[in-house]
Amino acid sequence: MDVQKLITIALGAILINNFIFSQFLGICPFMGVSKSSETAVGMGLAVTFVMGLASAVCYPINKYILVSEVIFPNAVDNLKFMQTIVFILVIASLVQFIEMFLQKTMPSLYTALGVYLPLITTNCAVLGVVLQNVQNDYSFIESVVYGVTGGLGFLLAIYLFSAIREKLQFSENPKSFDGFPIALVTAGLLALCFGGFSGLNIFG
Amino acid sequence: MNETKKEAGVIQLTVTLFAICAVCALILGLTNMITAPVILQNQERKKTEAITADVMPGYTGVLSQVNYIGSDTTIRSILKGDDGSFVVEVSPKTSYSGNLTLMVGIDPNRAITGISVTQSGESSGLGARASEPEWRAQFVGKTGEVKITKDGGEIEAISGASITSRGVCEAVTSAFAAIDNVSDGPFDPSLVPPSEQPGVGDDLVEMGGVIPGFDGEATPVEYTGDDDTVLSISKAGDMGYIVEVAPTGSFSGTLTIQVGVDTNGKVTGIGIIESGETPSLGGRASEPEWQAQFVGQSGTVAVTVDGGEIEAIAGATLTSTAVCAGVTSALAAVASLG
Amino acid sequence: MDFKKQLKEGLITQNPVTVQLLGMCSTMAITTSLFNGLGMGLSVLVILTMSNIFISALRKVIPSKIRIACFIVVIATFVTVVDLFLQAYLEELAANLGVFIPLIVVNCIILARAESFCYKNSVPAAAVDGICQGLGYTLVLVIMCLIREFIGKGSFGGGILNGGKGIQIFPAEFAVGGMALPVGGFLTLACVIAAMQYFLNRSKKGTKKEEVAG
Repeated sequence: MDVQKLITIALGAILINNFIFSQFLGICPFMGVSKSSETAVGMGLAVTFVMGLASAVCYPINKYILVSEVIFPNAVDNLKFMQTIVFILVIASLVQFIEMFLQKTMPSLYTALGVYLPLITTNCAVLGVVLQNVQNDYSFIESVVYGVTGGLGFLLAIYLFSAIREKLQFSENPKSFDGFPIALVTAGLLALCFGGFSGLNIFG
Repeated sequence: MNETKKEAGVIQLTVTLFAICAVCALILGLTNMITAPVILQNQERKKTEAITADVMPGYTGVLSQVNYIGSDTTIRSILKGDDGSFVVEVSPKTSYSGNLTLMVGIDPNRAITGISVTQSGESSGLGARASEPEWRAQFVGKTGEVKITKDGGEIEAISGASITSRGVCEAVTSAFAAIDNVSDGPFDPSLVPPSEQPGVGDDLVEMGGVIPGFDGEATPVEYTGDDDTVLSISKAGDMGYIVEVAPTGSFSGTLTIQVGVDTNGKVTGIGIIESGETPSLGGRASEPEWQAQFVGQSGTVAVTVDGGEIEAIAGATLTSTAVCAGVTSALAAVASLG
Repeated sequence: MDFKKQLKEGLITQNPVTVQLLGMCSTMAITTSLFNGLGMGLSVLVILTMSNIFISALRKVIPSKIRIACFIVVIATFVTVVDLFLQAYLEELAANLGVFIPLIVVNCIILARAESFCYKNSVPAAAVDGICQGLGYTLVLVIMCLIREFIGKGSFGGGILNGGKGIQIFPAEFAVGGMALPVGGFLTLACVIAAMQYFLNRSKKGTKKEEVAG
């Protein structure tokens, strides 16, 4: 297990290639849930959990079924083209299970998240992280680390953004920019700041 | 959302979902059948393009790997195009680092289309210049054996990196020879010989003597000159002389070398007999690749900094200069024998 | 099915990106060259239309309880179909758009239209809706590409015109490179939405109704 590589992946996911500010994955919930900090944190944690779990579940499905060398010795015949549909179905099912689980065991959290929980299914970041795990050929540990830290990056971004947005409600801006546009400008400035991490390289 | 099916049983749900999935799977399967071969072709083309970008620019054919049935162990792999062109991967024995690999493109008329350095541990700044397009362009159009100008050929060596330049020429020459030893059968990966990295540290003394080809007993000859560093001279039949020299100015003060000189007063080879030099730096004087520079030298031999042609070992100038002094002494000693 | 009305809605009054505020991920991520923008927009149009037709045709058969799952299956199928065709015949576009082609599956636009329109309307209406919404999406992408490419690189028509390099309108040294970076995406989209809101509000002079969703 290469700890150095894991740390590189983690740093990359949280700071250098932040899912929101660098890769543009997960913008819809990012904009939609960031009005207050508590819901933002709740959403961020939920997304982190789903991303880690989805990475963990999709890895064996991909490796041992879709592109398995045992079932398909000839790489041309494998089920690589089914990846998108299988992954999204897995994610949808996972979210459904988590929803049912939370409803039974932690109803307060369930009501707090409300309608945002099923929306995690359509969160580009979750499907994006699973697809990238496959693309980068990560091992199981690396996939899970990337999933969890990607979620943490999402959490960081959404928390920072919600803190600013709470203040934004009381600021004056041109009428056309009210609501989404000014929020996007704010997000853009945050993206510019995060862009400063792009040269970060601990292990030279 | 008005629910028109209130009591949709689990079975009905499952069946409907299953049916939709089945239809979708059918659509996907069909699409895959149509597009998969095209995608595969695209990937192959990309691979070929990556290989031929430097080596055979503009090549649009298909390259496939063929079996090499010759005996040159420096040949790593050979790709043959459907029009008769070749791309040969070679790791020449002569190199500064022992870690040089090239790809050589040869067109159907047996002229070089280009070379590219795929792996190199050569000295950065000097040997690394072998990757520069201007230098590599010299090889385009050449046929047959190629050598640097010093060895009688047409390739201008990189100044200060003659070992690397020689290595590249050797690789290209090997590539030409290799394409004549290709079997037409289907590619068999088990026939590929394990890649051999030239041994580092094999001294010429062990490898067959400083006069290659001489395997008799050298007869001692009397040295009447006044160079104290010359320890002994032996006559190697009618091939030349073997001189043992302990030059001054070495790092440790205990450097003894052996120099082979042919009947024309040119160095045939050198070997390190005794050395107290630093193992990682001065010790590199034992490397055949570095020693090969001396072959063919005559008269006064010096490192490039002193106006000569020998590329000093980076970080071991003392050792390098001392060896040069030793070789010069040897040559002078042989010349004085008359 | 009123083509003109739906077209106006798709392009302006109910534009999926600037009014409904859906599908922003891809809008900001790939609008760095005209080729990418057009390619992505047309891909989404095709997928949207095909899945609209399919879902609308099956609307009486799909049980309400599992409708989301069915939508996802259908949409994912067509996304994969388009993905495979792009990889086979337009591989440069596929390489440029990268992971965003499979991500069309979770593009909110398609799911939202399926849920809100196709499940209740006839096939022809759904098909037209798909085309119009797709055109609206493509329009926004193209506008963003033009702005970002012009300010960010000083060129026009990257990937399509001039053998792929685009026509250089002014030297690249004077261009604001940041526009091609993520921050440029955010800022450009902000301005486009603001402009749209401005025009929509102006056309509703007198009424206090705000079209903007929070």
